[in-house]
Amino acid sequence: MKRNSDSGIGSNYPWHKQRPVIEEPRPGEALRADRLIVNMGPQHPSTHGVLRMILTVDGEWVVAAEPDIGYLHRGFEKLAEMRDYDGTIFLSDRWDYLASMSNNIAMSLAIERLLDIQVPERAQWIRMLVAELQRIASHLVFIAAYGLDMGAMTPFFYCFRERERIVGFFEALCGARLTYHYVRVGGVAADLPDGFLEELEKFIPMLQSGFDEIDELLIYNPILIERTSGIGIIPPHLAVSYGLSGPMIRASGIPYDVRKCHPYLFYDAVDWDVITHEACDSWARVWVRSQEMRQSLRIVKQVVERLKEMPAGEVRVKLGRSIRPQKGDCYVAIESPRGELGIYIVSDGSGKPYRVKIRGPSFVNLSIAPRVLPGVKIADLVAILGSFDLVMGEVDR
Amino acid sequence: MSLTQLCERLLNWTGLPVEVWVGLVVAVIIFLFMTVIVLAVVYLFRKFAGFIQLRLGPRYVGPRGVLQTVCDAVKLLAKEDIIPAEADKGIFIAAPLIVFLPAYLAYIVIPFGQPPHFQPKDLNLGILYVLAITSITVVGIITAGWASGSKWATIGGMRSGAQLISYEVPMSLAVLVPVLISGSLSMKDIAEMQGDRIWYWNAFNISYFGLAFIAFVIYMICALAETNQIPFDLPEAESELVAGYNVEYSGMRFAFFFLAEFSNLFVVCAIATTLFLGGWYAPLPFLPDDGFWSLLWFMLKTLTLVFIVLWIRSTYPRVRIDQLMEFAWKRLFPIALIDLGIVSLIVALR
Amino acid sequence: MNGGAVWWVFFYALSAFTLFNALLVVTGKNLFKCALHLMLVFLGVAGLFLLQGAFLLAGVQTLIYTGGVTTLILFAIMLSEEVVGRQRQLVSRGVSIGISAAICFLGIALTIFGTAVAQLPENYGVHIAPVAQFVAEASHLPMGNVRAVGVALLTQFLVPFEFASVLLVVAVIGAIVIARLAGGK
Repeated sequence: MKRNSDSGIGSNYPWHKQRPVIEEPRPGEALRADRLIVNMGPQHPSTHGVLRMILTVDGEWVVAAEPDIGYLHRGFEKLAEMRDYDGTIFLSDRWDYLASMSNNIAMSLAIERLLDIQVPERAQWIRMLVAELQRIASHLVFIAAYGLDMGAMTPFFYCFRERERIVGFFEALCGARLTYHYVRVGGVAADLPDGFLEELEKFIPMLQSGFDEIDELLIYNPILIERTSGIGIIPPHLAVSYGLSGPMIRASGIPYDVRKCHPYLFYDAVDWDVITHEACDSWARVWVRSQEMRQSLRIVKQVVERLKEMPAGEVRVKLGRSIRPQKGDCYVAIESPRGELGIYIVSDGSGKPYRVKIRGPSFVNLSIAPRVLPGVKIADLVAILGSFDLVMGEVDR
Repeated sequence: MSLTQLCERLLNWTGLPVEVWVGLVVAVIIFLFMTVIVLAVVYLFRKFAGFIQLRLGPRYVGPRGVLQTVCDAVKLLAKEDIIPAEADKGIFIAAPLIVFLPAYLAYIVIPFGQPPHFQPKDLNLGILYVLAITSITVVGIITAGWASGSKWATIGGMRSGAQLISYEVPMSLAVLVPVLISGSLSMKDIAEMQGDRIWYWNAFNISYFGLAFIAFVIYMICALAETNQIPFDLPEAESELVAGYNVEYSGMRFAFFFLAEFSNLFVVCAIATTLFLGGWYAPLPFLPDDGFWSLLWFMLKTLTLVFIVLWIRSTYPRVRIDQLMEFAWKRLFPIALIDLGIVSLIVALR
Repeated sequence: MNGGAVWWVFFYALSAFTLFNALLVVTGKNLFKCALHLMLVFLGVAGLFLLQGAFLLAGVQTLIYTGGVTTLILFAIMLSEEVVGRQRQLVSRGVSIGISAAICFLGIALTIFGTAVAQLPENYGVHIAPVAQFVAEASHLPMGNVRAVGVALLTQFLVPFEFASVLLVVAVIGAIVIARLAGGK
């Protein structure tokens, strides 16, 4: 895997197109009192949830942007300390409510590593299947919402048509449509229902053509490209030093994907590519996500093949009534739709975790906003912030 | 006593000249026509957008939901009339009228069918009159934004004003092309010059080497901007401004804005039909285009244009404010100017 | 009622309307309302043009003054005024200068008008001011007076017309230069 170097990736991109950060007032500007502090959010139609941005604007230019978070803080890390290990999984549904399956998997993997148990192979394949379907569903929501931010109403409906079908499959698995609680410690809650794989196989080509439609409608739309390319540029070195992950860092040209770099489940046994783009701008972030959905679908196809060959059977390790891992700690990271979702658990040998730390990718990705937003036009603000794909449930936890 | 006699009696009793009464009747008819057109266009738009967006659109009120927009209109009229405390009351009340009146007055010169029956009045300055009248709309919109006493409405009003005056320039230039070709400002004359052969219609007339078609396209792009449709719906950009200049308006006053907006959409398409698509004429000589047929042809062409606008509206994202201005001044304006120059040269040389 | 009487009624009504609004423009305290009254003045003048048979002038008056100039003024007010505290006492400092300017203008207008009217009966169409002559001819043309005005502008009045356009270009360039200087430094 090729790693980043400052000169190599993205060096042919015109960085100078980005405005310099205005720090010192220009001569004579001290007299002008037109710097304005504007509040954007937490109730604003395009901050997606309860993000509040405190903006300092100079006429049309943003001088400083400070995200103010915590409006959706529910204290999951603390709550997890008061529950037994099984009970932490359902909390994870609510971190990033657009990717509950991924959260379930992260939490389960972390606890399983603490317990040092081996999950049945079939359960692992099912986990991969739901993780990739979840990624597609989450990216679809992102593209839908981004289209709305840009004033395009119709792609929203096309994205949600496909997402609804995926959610329908999840409903068939576990009965829930948003907070699934399907992946459990030691496996998954139940095996696939009858006819699930056949239905999914029928659905895959439909999804494929759905992607084509969305590409045509929104991703390659000249107006969208005109509005989103060249703004919100995050150069590779900046992306690395801010610890970005997921599509955010891949859109900056760095092929970092936990599934490839530190494979978990069976991601090294299937054939897929890491999508990167060198433009580092808002459009690249949208494009990377649209292409990642296709790669996820590739994985889904292969996983379906494998699962069809496999006989139905054990999908969950029998564990005792209460799980008591040994004293110790572990860090497990997976690639959630938004980036590297890391769980750090410390066990003191009791039935409840001593400490749980969640590395939410949205939170880390948001951290670059104060660095990127100064120097952009107010009109571009939504186009940049929207491309970060923030889920406030995960930023605040 | 026959009806005619009754009318005559009444006329004599009032002592006013007949023209006044005819004018009043025509005014009422135009208003009703405008209302019906707007209700129909809104209903069709909702069905059409529903079709595009995998939805059903209105379904329950009346057969296939045709009465939904009527219901909405009644609801708007019955709503409580709210004037914000911060608003400048007099101007706040006047603004919807300033926006509505030009939209209404523009109907006077449009030949909806074969004149004189389907054209309220043919002015020899027809198209100039329309341009002049509709330019007042800007004042109403800015006034509405300002009078609301809200920052968002003010910004929306200013954006809208800047957009409307910017796009009026290439639009006027594009309008001048058919005027030059036919040598008249009268809507009736321009339509009659084109006649009932599709290859003589201004948009498709090859003797101007497609230059008139370019003018047609420029006109339609400007029409999108003038009627605040996506991709130029910045005054109403929901993700930025919530609803633009009319955010503080509700009930009946909002209904006036709404009526004016959709009516303007229809009017710009009707003007495009008259100027570029042969007005009320059928595309081929052997097709009937007299009497009510002419009305049918005119409506058919106009509604097709309306549908194209709505199609674009439900497909595209929105441009940014500076891109909008740049597009008007750096692209459309020079193209329209060069286009007009060449056309006038051709006309002069013939 | 005969046509002439109706004409005069309209004429006086419109004149009164225009003058009344003009008075409100200069005496009003709310700048924004003043601008709106100014728009009504422009519309009234357009109406007066209509009454004279100058349809083109009426159209252009509406298009440029009502649609363009009023909008410009409104923009200027909105950009300079704050949204809050919009009631502002308009103080005219140069009342005496204003009055003397008005008297001067009245004198000039009366002189021109007087000579034109005095010459009207005996020398109609010969010694009359050229503009009036064209308007008089134009009102008989079938196409309104568009063609007449156009021909006049490009033949007899070509030089003033071009001077006016040069003046406008200079003004536009000047505005850009001033804006650049103010913004850049």
